[in-house]
Amino acid sequence: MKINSIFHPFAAAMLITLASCGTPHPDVPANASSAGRLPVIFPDYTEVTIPSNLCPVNFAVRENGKNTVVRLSAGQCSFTYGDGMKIQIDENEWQELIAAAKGKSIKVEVYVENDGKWTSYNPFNVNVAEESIDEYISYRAIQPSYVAYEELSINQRNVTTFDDEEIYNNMMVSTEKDGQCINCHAYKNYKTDNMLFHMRQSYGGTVIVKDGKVSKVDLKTPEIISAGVYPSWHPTANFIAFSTNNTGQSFHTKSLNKIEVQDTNSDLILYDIDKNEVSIISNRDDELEVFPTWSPDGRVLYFCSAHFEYQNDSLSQEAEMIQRFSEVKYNLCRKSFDPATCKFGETEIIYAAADTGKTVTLPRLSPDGRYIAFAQGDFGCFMVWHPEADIYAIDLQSERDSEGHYLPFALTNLNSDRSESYPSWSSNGRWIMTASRRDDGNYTRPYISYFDKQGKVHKAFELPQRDPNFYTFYLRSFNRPEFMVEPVKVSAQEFAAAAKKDAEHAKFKK
Amino acid sequence: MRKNTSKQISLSMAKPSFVTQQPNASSSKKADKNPIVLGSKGNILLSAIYLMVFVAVAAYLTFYKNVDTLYNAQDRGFFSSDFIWLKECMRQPGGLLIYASSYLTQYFYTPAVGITMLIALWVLSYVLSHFAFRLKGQNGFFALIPLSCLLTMVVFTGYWFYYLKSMGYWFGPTLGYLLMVITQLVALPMNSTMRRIFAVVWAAALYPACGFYALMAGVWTLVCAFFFAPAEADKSHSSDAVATSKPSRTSELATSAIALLAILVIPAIYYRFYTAISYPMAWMASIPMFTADNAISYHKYTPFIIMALSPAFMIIGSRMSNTLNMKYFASAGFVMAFAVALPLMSNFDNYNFHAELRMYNAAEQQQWDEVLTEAANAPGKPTRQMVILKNLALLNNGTIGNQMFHYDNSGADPYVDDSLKVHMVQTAAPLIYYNHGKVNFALRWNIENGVEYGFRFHDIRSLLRCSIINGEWDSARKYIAVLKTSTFQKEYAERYEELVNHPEKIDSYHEFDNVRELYKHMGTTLDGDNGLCEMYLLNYFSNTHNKDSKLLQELTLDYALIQKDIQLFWPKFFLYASMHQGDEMPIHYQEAAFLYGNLEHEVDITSMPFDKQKIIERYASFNQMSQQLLASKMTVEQVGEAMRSNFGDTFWWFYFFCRDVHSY
Repeated sequence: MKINSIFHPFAAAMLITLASCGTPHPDVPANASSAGRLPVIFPDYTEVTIPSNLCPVNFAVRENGKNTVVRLSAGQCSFTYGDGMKIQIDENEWQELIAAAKGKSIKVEVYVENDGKWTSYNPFNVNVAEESIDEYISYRAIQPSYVAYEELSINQRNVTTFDDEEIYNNMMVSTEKDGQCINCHAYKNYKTDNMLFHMRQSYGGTVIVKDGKVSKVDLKTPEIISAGVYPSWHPTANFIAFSTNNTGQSFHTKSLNKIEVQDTNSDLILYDIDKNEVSIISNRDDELEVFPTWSPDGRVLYFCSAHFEYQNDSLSQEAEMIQRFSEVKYNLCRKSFDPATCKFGETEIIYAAADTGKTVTLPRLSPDGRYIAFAQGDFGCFMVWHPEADIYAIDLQSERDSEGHYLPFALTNLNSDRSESYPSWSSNGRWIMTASRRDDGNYTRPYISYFDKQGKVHKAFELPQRDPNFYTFYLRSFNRPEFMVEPVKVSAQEFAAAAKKDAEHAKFKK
Repeated sequence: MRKNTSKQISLSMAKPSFVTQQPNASSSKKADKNPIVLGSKGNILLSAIYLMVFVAVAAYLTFYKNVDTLYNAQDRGFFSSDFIWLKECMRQPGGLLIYASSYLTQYFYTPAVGITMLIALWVLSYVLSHFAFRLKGQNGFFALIPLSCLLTMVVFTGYWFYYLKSMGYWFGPTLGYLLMVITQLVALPMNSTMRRIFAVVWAAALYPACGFYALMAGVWTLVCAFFFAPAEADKSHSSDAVATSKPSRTSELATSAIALLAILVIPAIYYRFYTAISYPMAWMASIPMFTADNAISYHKYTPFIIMALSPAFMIIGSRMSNTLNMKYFASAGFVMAFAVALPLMSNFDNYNFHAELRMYNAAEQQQWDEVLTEAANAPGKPTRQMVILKNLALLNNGTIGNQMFHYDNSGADPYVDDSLKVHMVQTAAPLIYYNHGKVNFALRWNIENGVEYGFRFHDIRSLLRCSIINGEWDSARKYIAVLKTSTFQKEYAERYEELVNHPEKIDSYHEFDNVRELYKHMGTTLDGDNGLCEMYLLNYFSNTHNKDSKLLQELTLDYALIQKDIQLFWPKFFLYASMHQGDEMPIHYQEAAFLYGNLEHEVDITSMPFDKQKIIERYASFNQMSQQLLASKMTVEQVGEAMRSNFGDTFWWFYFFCRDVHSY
């Protein structure tokens, strides 16, 4: 078992000292005037639905006041908390509460003291679903950066506790001009014995863990645009679909979008892990194909594709793309796939987003294969910088329109008026997570919604942290949050050792 | 026995080095015929004199020569009382030292306080070194060697100032050295076996908190065990004697080697617990690094290396006799000369470097007159950053059209004494972009620099200002919350807390007026500066045509002048005239129009009401003088220099003679 790097012995000793002070249980004030409204709390857990195995939903009360007392009640269990304006719930007591409230609710009553006078707020419920959530999520911890990068890490967080540790940190191998970018961690069927992530620049390559064994491969061959970029593990066979992209960035002089990340070219490739071979899935000159994702049975590959033809020979493709950035709109497409013959069918557009003036990115199938969720915005492929971007879904069992296209619906309770991107489903399909910038517009945070059996999306909650003010002071984004049913077992040091080895070059299969 | 030992230790600790001691047998052999042996008062006095010399040099270099550097050091540092920041620091070995150093660095906010604290730590180190290394007071000059190095590290950064990634740079080595000294003090009473065990355990225990310095303390404890016997041994020997009752030399060497190996293995063991450092860095955790993209400065490591090795000098000092002979005076003279000369000669005394820091601070506080004073006082060629800040000051004061060329508009490259490449995007771009209304670009470079060098106070303040201009109130709230957890940035944060909670009050915050004006009328497009701030501004503004904002329009005209582009100039000149009807045309715009009208007769300037004395007659003089000088076979550069005193304040001189300006 790896030791959490953040809580190394010294910090751990300090934490233990602090923890040994015990959780105070203040009395609920006898006399309090009613505010007649819900309290303002951060993160907002009012009337959310949480999984039955989630860690405590610690929060800060953001009302004028110096002290707060909060009573949490479920069945026969009732506990009070208050530490200044923060509520940090004892983990053992939380287990009692959440067990008592499974399938029901925890009632939360908030009192605030200001100048010696207490005010009570309307109580609210934290609903506890019958279903649990995958124990882990992984994410890339990254500043909301533009071009430069320094320290990047891929972390795994146990959502049933507050334990968070680094799977890999690029500072383990290089810095400065030899700096290394890491990205696109992906897992096969939510498990970690088969996983990958990319290293760029220094010690570049794709780190692939196959059946627990680490290797590094270079997927770039002369026949393809780039090494693999956005990945998707085939659920049954030893294949990984990737996009290959020529990606650039440019900067809005005034728009709050701030950055456009654009592909001047992009195609899809299939990587055969056993043979270390790449082959083309789709490489049309007039299409920008990207974001492959497999259906749960592995017989359909979904992806996004934008029709784009360069028109101005006097400009470079990059320059023309910058000029016409708002014209790039991706449709949602799919191809059938036969794992036995490794043959793909024809491309079928299942949602013509471009016809409605929209763009579709980052599609993800629910584990039962019925729903496909994606981030939709006005144009482009990088929704994390698009405030208008929201998560939508298509019910693949719904009727199609006259042109054979599905109609999407917005996951309203998961969305906000700021950017939502990168949807991902829990392995039981009951939870859907998105990288949202709703807190402040710039830093991406994991928000999770209950997706019930009727396909109804419940109000999203922010992944709880031990310190409720964590998200205020944490100056990194939670990028590409992914569910995992187990922790990564390969140590960071093993990844670092693999990183330093030369990458094995993939062959190209015609 | 134990009690007795304790007593001896106590005595030894009380005054081990300031006590007058007779020379031992070996030293007396070499002593002069009439040796001068100081008493305890003399020892203390001499030691105090050495210290005072150092303190005087330190005070001169910090209070007088580097007060701007140190003020900016806190501004380009960060500290938060929130536990998350402590955890962030502790993600690498030496984190607690970085945390403590970051905390102390804040006190440079009032430079006198921060500098006094730093010098006080040096004085404390000096005094404790006497006890730890059993230095006689008269040999105290040896204890100045590490302090001299520490002082040097504070005053010699130059433009590395902008590229230092260690948050704990300013106090870290001082605290690390102090740790090493205290370690020796703690170990001193122990017998040699205990000392070796202690060295390993101490280094292992403190490594997470102090990184390299814990290893350094451990290693020197091992070394000192050979030279400084415990107090019990002092009873029968001089202070630097080795106890005869100790284990054999071979045995000592063997156990020391094992202990040394154990200490050196500590980072390898801890590496399993850390993911934010590379394997080689585990041994160098928390030491200052002078590496940047494509640049490394090896000579900047020299003072640090000497500091790390300095206990060796003190061991030598502890073994010197206490007679004031020629050897003593030679040693003292040499070491004192080194201790004084190293920081004095290493001090980065480049005027532009310091002026840039002062101008940056003044510009951030919108004290534009101070910016102009600095620009006017520059003794030589200013850097382009100084020129841009000067122009911003003139723009904001409304005098750019009349005074822009009263200052030197050329540009010296930032002075570096190694391979470091200085880029304006890392030194001042966010502030420059912000004051041009290019808020997104300011945000971008704040983030880029924050990613590369860590988010620091001046980044967070800039991010806060940009968020306010962009109307990103939640983002602004976040940065206010972060600033409020610092020791000295609360006031700044609280000033804007009211605004963030009541955005409608922004009109009463006049510091935003000009930026909002520029921002409001800025076009929106997709763009990029390729890391060249000034080139981007030149191209963007000289090619921008705006008739809605007088401020923005004048800025575009000014950049057209700097571009020396006639085609860009005329439309902006006419637009300026139409937007300022009834106002007097600023002199530099008249100069440009008159010059361009005479150079290229595309625009008829005959009916323009040029100032007779300042333009028409002066241009004639300018023309006449230049013709005469050129006819005398002088080069263009020589002509330029010859004409500078008479015409250096004109656009004409800038147009013809200000050349080879390098943007960076």
